[in-house]
Amino acid sequence: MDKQAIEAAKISGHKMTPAEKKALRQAKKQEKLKGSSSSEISVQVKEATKKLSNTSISPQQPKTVTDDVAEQKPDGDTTMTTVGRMGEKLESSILNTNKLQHVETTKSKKPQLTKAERRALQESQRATKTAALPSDGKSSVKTPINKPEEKSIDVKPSKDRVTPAAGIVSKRDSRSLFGHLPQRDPTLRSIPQLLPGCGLNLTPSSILHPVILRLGLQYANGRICGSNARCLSLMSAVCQLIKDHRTPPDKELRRHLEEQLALHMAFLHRCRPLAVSQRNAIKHLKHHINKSIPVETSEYEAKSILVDTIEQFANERVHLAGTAISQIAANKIQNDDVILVYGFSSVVLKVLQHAFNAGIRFEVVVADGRPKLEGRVMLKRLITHGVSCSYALIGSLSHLLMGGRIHKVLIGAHALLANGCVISRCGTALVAMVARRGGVPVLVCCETYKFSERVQTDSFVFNELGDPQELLQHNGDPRLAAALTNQSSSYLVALNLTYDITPSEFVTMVITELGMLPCTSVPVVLRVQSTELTE
Amino acid sequence: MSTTEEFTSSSIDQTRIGGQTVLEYYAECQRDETKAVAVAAIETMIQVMEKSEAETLQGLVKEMNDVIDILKRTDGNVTSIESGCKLFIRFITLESSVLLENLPFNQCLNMLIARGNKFLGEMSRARLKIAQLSAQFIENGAVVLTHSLSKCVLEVLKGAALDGKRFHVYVTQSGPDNSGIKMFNKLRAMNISATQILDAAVGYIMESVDLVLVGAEGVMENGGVLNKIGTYGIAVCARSSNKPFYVVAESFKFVRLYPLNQRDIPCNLKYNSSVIKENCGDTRFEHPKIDYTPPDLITLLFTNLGVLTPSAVSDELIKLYL
Repeated sequence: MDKQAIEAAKISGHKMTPAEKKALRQAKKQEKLKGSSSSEISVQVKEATKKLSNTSISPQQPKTVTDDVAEQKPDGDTTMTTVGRMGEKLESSILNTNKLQHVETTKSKKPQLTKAERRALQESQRATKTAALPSDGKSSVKTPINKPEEKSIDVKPSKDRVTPAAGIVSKRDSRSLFGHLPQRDPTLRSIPQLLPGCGLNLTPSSILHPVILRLGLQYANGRICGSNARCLSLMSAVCQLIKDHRTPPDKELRRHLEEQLALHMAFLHRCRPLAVSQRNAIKHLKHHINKSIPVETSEYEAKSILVDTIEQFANERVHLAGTAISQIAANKIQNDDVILVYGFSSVVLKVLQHAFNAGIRFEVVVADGRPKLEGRVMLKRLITHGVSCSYALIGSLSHLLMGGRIHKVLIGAHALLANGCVISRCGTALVAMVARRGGVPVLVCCETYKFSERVQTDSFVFNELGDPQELLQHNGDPRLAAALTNQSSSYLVALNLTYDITPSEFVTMVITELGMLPCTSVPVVLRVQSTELTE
Repeated sequence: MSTTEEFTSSSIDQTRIGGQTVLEYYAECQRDETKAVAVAAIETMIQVMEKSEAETLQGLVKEMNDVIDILKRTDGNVTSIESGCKLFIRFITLESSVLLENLPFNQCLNMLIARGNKFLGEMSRARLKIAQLSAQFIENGAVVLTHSLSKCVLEVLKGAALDGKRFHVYVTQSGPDNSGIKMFNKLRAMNISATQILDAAVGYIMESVDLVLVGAEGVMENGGVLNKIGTYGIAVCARSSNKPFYVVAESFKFVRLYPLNQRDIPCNLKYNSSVIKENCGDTRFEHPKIDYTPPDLITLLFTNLGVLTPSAVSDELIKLYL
């Protein structure tokens, strides 16, 4: 009616006054609002999801600072907002899938809301949120939760980027120095505990693929550990996910698959923060979802293309790369060498096994550090292969490396940064530093898929906190045990850093499947790879 | 036997008999002492290509690799022969494979020879380019320390002298073959003021020099260099006295080697091949010809690709080889 009126006015040449135009616009709005009956229901859905995310973040029992902050992961927050909006779409997809359980929903299908309406809804929700803020000391907005006496500052998150909690730190509480680091809550061991943090308001097995659920649990429990292992297990799980994926008829395969992928990645990140290797693999997959599937392919074809891509990635960038590295590195190992290794690395193990099979005579000293004591696994594997080994703890490094008895140090890497620094298991930096001082060359074995464009100068900016209880051994003394376990009242903060940064000046050479490179060549490789991607 | 007769025989005989003439031709090329060793080697390889009877590209590459092996058995600067020739092969075979597939092999061969000559031309001019680039680093009144005989460094110093700059050069004697004395004589012949010092006097003289300028026999993948024995000591001394340490090298000396330490340098580069043969591989009692200077002791490298930091060498090598 309004459009016609305006057009009639245009034709007739009658100029509408601004007041008239405003009246027309308002009339239009009223009509549309009356027309949609499901708008209220959609408001309800949104408020319900927001409420649930509110309750999941505000813990009822007292926890340590690190635990509180740990629940507010950057990635989790974005998914909370996106998932909230996706709630409608997910429901419709559930109804259409055969494999997943049908979830009863009282909400009917809703027509698309106009932009203005959605904006209006968001405004009203924001208003309710800010109204609720003084009464509810902990809001869904990102703040580190310090002692209750302190005021929590309302920091509004920007649309899709979550600002880290840094800057809002109490001077008195030194625990918050590491409050920005993500930490696994060791009490979260089962799926019902892990799910709420993602902001999902559905029963556990209805929306997430069981393979991913299992994988998440394995990560959370530390059963799958190590950069390569985590990446490969992720790749096979995602393959299964893609194979079982069914696009609902009104959705496009690519978009829907990307949404599903984001959802599952959010869950996995909640179980254990994603490794650089995993991130790069997912980035590779996402790139191929966008680039490799022409619009007109059938679902079956598209899925088989993607599965092939993933398998090719795993095969080339991980398995074959490892073989190439072991062949290149074996050239550097000479007869009668004594090689020092630290902890467990699948690549270094491959290198040593290959060199042994090639007939080179060498000895290995395995250095190990608490709390993980992964060196024991390395030791076992090497001995069963037939290599003659010694075992030492990290405290005896200077004795080992300064005496001129060690000829080389071989270390693996979690990731290599763009400034040439190596992220590896905590303790590696020590080994590299002492080796440098003792004039022993340090060789890092790392596949190129672990190269990251991130730059980091120290180990605190970004790291992962492990279970602090692992550090505290009380050896049966009851008083000590009591004091150590009751952390919230004690002044003790156990800091269990998982990774550390080895500066590039301590590293002599990086061995990749492309050859032997200096540490400073990482950005060159990244540049070459990115040009290959864009081709 | 005439040259044509030799090259018409079967390929196996060709390598053996051709080996004689290859070396002779190589010796001829080397008669011009101002030529770089690698340039002479590349001229030899172009000659082999012209006389080649190979039917396929693979066959040609195999022939050239055989020639490289023969040339490496000479007593000389083996590092730059290997690097220069490998780069040469890489340069000429980088031609678009589509073109090579469509044309008959004779025409391909002519194209490759043309590319080879182009490469040779660039390499022969490399030293002049380097001299132009490095001129700005030698200021008026500078005191330069150099080590052993390097044609590249001579070219740089000649360029600076022609520019009208007044500077003084300290040259080490550089045993065991005393090649530093030759360098000293050449500098005096160019009317550049120079002083001959003992190798042992480097520590003494370091505080009086402004910069150290050395050549290289090979530039490693990480930016380190292989050069006449004694260079590493000079580099350590320069670092300790905070003097800049410059290396002058042409780009054909970039080689895909990556030694971890002095022990890790391949044997055939450290010792003359005749010496290795005499001792049947046991070189524990022989004195090495070259040593390895790690990249953190080097300030800058002057090459015909530009003035590079040691970490940029890897970038250039990746561009060339990957």
